[in-house]
Amino acid sequence: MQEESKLLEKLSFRQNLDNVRRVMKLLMSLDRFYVPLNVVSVLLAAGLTYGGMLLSAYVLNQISAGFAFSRLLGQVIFGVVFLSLGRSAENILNRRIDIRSQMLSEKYRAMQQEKIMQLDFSLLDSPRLKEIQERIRMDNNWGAGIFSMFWQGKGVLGNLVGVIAAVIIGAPMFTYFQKEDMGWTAAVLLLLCLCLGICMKLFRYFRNMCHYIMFHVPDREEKKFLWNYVWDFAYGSRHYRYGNGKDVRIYNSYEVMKRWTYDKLQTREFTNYCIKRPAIGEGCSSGVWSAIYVLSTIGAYCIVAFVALNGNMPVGSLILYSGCLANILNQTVNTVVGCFDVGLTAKKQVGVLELLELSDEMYKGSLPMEKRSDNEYHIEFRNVSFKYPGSEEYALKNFSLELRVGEKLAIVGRNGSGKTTMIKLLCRLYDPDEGEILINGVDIKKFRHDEYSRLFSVVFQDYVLFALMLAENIAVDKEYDAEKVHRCLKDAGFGERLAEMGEKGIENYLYKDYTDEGIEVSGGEAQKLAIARAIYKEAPFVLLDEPTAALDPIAEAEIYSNFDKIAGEKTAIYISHRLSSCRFCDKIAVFDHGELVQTGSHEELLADGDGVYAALWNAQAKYYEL
Amino acid sequence: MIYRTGKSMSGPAGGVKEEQAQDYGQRVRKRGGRRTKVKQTDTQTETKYEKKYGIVQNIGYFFEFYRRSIPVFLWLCLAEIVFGAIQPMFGIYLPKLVVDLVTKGVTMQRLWLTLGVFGLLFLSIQVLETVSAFGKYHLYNTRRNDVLANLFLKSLRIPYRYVEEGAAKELYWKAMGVVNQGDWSASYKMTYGTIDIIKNIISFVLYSTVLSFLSPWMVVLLLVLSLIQYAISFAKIKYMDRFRDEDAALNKKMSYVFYNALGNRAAAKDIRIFRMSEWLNKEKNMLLDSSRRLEKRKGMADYRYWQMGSLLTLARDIFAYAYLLKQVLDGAVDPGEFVLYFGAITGFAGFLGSIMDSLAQLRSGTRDTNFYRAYMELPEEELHRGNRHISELEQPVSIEFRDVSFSYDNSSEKKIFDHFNLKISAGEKLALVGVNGAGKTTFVKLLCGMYDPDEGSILIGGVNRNEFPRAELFELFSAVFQETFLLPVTVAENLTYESDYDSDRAWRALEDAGLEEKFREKGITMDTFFDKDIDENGVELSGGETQRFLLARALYKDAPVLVLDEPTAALDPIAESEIYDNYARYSGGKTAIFISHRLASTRFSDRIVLLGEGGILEEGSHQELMDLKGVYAEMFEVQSRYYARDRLEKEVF
Repeated sequence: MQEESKLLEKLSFRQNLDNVRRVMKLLMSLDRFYVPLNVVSVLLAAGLTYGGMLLSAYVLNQISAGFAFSRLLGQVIFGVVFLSLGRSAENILNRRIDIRSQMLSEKYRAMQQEKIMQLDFSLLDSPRLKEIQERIRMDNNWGAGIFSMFWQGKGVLGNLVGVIAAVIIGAPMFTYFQKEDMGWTAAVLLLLCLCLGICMKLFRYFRNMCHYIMFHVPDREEKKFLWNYVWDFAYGSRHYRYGNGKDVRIYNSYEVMKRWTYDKLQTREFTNYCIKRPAIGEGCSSGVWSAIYVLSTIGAYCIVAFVALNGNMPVGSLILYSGCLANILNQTVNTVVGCFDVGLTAKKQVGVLELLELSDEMYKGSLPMEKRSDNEYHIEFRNVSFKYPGSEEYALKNFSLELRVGEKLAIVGRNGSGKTTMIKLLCRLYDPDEGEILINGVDIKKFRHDEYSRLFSVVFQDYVLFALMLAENIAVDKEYDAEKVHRCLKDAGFGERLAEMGEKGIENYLYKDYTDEGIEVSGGEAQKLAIARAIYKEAPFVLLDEPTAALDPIAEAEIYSNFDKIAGEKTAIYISHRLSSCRFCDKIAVFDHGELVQTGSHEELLADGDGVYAALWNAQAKYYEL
Repeated sequence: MIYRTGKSMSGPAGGVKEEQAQDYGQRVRKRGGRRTKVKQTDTQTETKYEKKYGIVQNIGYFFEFYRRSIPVFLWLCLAEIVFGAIQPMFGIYLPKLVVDLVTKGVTMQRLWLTLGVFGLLFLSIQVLETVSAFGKYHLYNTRRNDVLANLFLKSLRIPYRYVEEGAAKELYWKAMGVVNQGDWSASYKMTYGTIDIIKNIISFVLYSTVLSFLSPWMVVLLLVLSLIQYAISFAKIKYMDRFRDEDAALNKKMSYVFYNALGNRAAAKDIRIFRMSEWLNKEKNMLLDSSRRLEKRKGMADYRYWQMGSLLTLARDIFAYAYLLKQVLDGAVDPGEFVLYFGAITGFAGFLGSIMDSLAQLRSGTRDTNFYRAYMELPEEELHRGNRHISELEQPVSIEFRDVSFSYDNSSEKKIFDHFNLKISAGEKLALVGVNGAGKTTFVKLLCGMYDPDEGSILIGGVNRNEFPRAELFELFSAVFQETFLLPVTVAENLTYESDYDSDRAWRALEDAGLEEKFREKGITMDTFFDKDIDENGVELSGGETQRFLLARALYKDAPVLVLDEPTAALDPIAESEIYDNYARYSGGKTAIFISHRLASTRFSDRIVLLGEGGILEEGSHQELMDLKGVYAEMFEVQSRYYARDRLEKEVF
């Protein structure tokens, strides 16, 4: 684990700029009108602000100069109506921008998820991805994520435009300057700038004090449990799920749960480190910040009043120029700090940039997959060895196996003997470290991956159904062949339940996560749906990894008897702890500690009384002897 | 904008999203007009809870909470209110002061002195306000975790049925959502809304006083305009309510697709093999499209009201200019006063707007708070009430279900048990079998006291179990449930939940469950943490090891009744067989119940009970049930078809 968050690392100006540029480029690629619209909005806003200031200055000047009531009122009404129209336009524009911001941030988020869906499977558990995701999680815990970029960027732009406008509008002030005032004003201005400079330093100091704690990786005990206990328990995300409430009651573990959550929050260490220090930092930095605002306002009024006193400036101009000068001072500081903020926000998104830049290593094959109507595919594992990334032990070791067309292979073995690993290698979720897997004599790495993955229908042990429409779940697409869906559901043994589901039938949504009208299905039914999904795909290879673990004996038998329907003429691989279920396979492969130790038919294997298979078989069969 | 759903599978993306005090400049000048873009994610309008407590009661609730946990909080609130209320006055007096000084043509020293004194006052008040306003932020924000922890701990104290049951479970997620939404949490809305509203009301009164010097009628007129403005905002809120259901439904969909479906890690294999990303992307784009359309419609409706308000402002500005110009012409107002009054008139509406915002914030906060309080007020399990004691019973105990009827959510149609009777005598070893959904797991929950029967009673040692304190009842059972449960704390804590545990017994329990050797090999001690993220030397157990560990925990507890619910589901045949071989030892001298789909497990039980159709379908010894040739025989037949040696031999030869 890193000692400190990368957010606290100091970056050079160039690096910061580069981060901002990359994030902006990404955003522009998602919505190219976003930035131009914001520019218009900022210009409009500046126009309105200074338009209002100019109007009131004009009125004041007229007042002190003596005025014609009806004429001035006419002008004022014209001005006010004009400004009001401008504000309506601004409002409409900003609403558009708000909607775009929302869409943009959703797209931005989805883009990361899409990337994760497309990454090499082997990268998913890699330390690299873990580190990146941890970084994204940490860096975005505070603040509004990419949203900050939207308003901070707009803020910097607005302040910059404001300063420029103020300089242009305030420039005529110099005509009122008397020569002898120069020294004085320069001195005051200098003093003011010095004060503002000191304030900025103080502001940064207090803010860093706050950031240090906010962005620090929870290597500190105090923060660690906040993440891992309070939030994880409360959300039931990792260790505690509501169903565990039974254990808590029966085993009286309430005190342990309380000790690691509420009690920890009350410790002195926690209060000092996580509450007092950031509170002081936040309070003082905000105080200093507001001082900057007040100082620049008061300072500007002082200077302009001083000039006005000697230079015979009309009242309206006095207010106008004070406002301009105050804005110049204040908005300059705002721009500078805003740039730091934008830099920080961009830095927070570096994790996302890194994620998006992760490159796929595995799926580079370009050979088109020969489409064979006769499904004549021949698979061979040749001396395959494989270790899971980060693991020392071989999950598969020097493994060789041939599989002929239409063959039904069962794989048995103890927990952790490499059964599921073999399936994962065959599906190219991982590539072997040594040896190769050949299909019709060609290394599977050479094929285009999208075409290669069409060959396999898999029901994994931990299959997932989505809370979307039932039919879509089977067809894995928004468009589906309703008749075929019905047929597959029937073949998988789901027909009875389907009949009970009313007229919406396959158009029902699964579970209640997506819509309240969704239907609940039991574990056994879900397993049947997963099987139906595999049937729908009509791939030449069918791989089933413990498809009956959650089923009672009757339902289990039903699946077995449908096995022929599921597998048909196809090549099938079947993994199960229930050895009896392997008996309808042509060939049984026995795995032990990552190695293939036996192959053959049930009878052949059982004949070897000292073999692994016999041990497994007898362990189970002895309880069924009559 | 934060989406959050209430499914247990969806944890927070990053714990909490906090909207940090971002743009200080804006905040300071905005006087509490904070971002109010709140996405409500309610699907059902649970009016039952929503209206239980009023705004004032809920304000009191949170202030009391913060007073107790951080006493300085209240003082800071007070300081923010006082300084924050007078601070705007300085803003409008400054231009007047300068204009007056300059038009009067005072001396330079006088100018410096006046502005200096005024500036210092302004500065100190502004700084004091901001320090007290933002200094609270972390105090408040971090202490909010207490609220979260309280909510979680509450979920452990209420009867278990509330944890699982629809309404209370939904309420939990609802409450969780409203207390853990960063700056949109209920606690934030209530405390900050209160401060803002008081602050703005005081400022409002101060401004009115200033304006009443100009003309009391001016104040009346502005009030009338404000009331119209209020009516418009009120109409808007009512009108926008019609989008609520649509919004909630869409939010639910988006929240699911964006946060749970896209990039779902558990589905990573399926996504790749079935090439699901295209499908999910289509769904995503469809939702984005609907969302954009809805937002546009909402925006258009909202704009209409905004435009009405804007016209009102226009009328006000024109009137103010006309009136003030007339006054200047009549000589009643000098340029300095003109600046002051004009500032006051335009500022006036701002306070009223902020008061409206705060009111809306308080109202939505109150609704939110009521969800939280409703959960916190659920009745708790009465652990110690009861006039009999388990210690009076002879051990092992007998258990009897007498005429028990039960259904989840009290529906008469889906009865799991219908006048169900079962007597388990002391020390009996019972095997419970049945098809999926026959009620095996429900039986365990009823037995262990997680649920109470709707009708009938459960007797322990011949005594109605409700006469025993629940705490003692819980002590009666050593259970291994289907859901695994390992906390990221030490091995000892997970195994014993005691601070002064018996180390020898703990190791023996591990040994009995077949784990001791493996633990010693890997160098795991009683103080090793589970979970690598917590501790560098932490360990992670595989599915099979976890199941054995939970068995060890049950053995350590050594309670009079042993309940094993599918303890071998994740184990391979040999490991499974080991558990069976040891079962007699585990259950020695105890009443024991073994539940499994693997019918082999019935062979070492005294009696087999086959559940189904709301009651017992068949019961007896293995042989008796086989002779009966009923459902059990069929199930056993199906499962043992290929194991039985005699058949096997027939096939081989």
